[in-house]
Amino acid sequence: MQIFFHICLGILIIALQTGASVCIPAIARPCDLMIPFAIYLALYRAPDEGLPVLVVSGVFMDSLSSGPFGVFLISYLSLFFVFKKITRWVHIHYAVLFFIVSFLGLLFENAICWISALFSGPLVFRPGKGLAILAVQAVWLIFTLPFLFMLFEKYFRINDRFVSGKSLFTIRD
Amino acid sequence: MFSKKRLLVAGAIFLIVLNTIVFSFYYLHRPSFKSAAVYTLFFFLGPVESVFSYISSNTVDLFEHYVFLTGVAAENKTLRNKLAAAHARLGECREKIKLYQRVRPFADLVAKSPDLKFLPASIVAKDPSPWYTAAMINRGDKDGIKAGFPVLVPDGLVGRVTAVSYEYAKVILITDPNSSVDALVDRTRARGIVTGEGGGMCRFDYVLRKSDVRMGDMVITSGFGGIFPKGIPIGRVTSLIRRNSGLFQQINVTPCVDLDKLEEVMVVVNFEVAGKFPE
Repeated sequence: MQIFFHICLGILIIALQTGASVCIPAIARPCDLMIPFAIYLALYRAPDEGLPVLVVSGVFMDSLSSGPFGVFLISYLSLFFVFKKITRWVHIHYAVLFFIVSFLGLLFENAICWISALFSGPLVFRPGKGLAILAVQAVWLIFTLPFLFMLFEKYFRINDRFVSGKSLFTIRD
Repeated sequence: MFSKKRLLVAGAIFLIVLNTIVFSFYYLHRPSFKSAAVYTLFFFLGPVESVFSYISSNTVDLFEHYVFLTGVAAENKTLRNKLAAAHARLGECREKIKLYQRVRPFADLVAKSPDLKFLPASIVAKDPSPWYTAAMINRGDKDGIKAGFPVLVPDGLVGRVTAVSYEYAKVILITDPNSSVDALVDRTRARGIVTGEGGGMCRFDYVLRKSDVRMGDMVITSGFGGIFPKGIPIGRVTSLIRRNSGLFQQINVTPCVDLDKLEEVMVVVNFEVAGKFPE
């Protein structure tokens, strides 16, 4: 049941970013908001919760994109496994580190896009354009990440309380 | 000789006249008495009158500005509501004017192309990837949309439908790296393939070096291959490199359509697609 809610949240994020991008010119296209979600799932949630969400979200994103099918799916799953592995050796469960890790995730997804462009697609790879896209996405990430982090924290807190059968909202004295 | 009554009346008249004359002469020679009386009267009465005047004027003000304003407050509320409604109406009208200005060229396009049947659609989402340029439109299988249908706006070619669901369809734009359009230079009929570059620009490939192409030339669809109707504007040549060696020229084309600002498009629903589009 909770995986269903996680998937709904993922689809909501995808709908938000694809719907909102109609009003945003291509040059200022925002970053993929699913990257922080994938990293959050990798850092703070169990694999059986995170993987189904990322598989469904990846397929959704690939369906909406006109790029080669599987780029987003591979990106999300790679992000999940890489950061899941890193948390075994390095303690990165702090909120501040989440920001740094999200930037690494952004780089990671762009690298996968570049590799797919170089090897499979007809996309002409230009380093200058790639860096410009990355810079714009990094700016978007700076402004959206705090809100996303708060959203994820709040959502998963409510979700956990729902699963454990407690009252959904904490009453403070 | 005179009765007693007549004597009394005459005496009274005489006294009144005399009195008047005496007092007249008296005041004529001593005018300061009146001035002193008036001065004294004003000295005492003036402040009292000022106080009364102040109180009365403030009382009037109080009534005018506070007591009578109970009705004005209600009137103010009504007027504010009317103003808000007028503003809303003005906004609606402005939006309708903008919509009309946007839609008018579409009507002209339909009138100019009697052979083609158009279906208007709105862009509801865009490609999530910054590397590719696709868009989602709010028309799908239920509206008769099929993969391969050309998508236009009055300014020129937008792209073609690549995937269809029940209510929505995905349109690949001409600037997408996966898009290729068989094209001609309008002026010289030099032929080539317009391919998307992903950054709002297109390349015009496979144009022979000997072909006459100049900056600013209009590039249109050729109609070959049966994917797009013939003669739809694609863009203008904005850069051109003709090397001494090699078979082809390097030509960049800027699309006629501002694909970033697309809101409404027209899907050509009766154009025969020559081959089945690979989904």
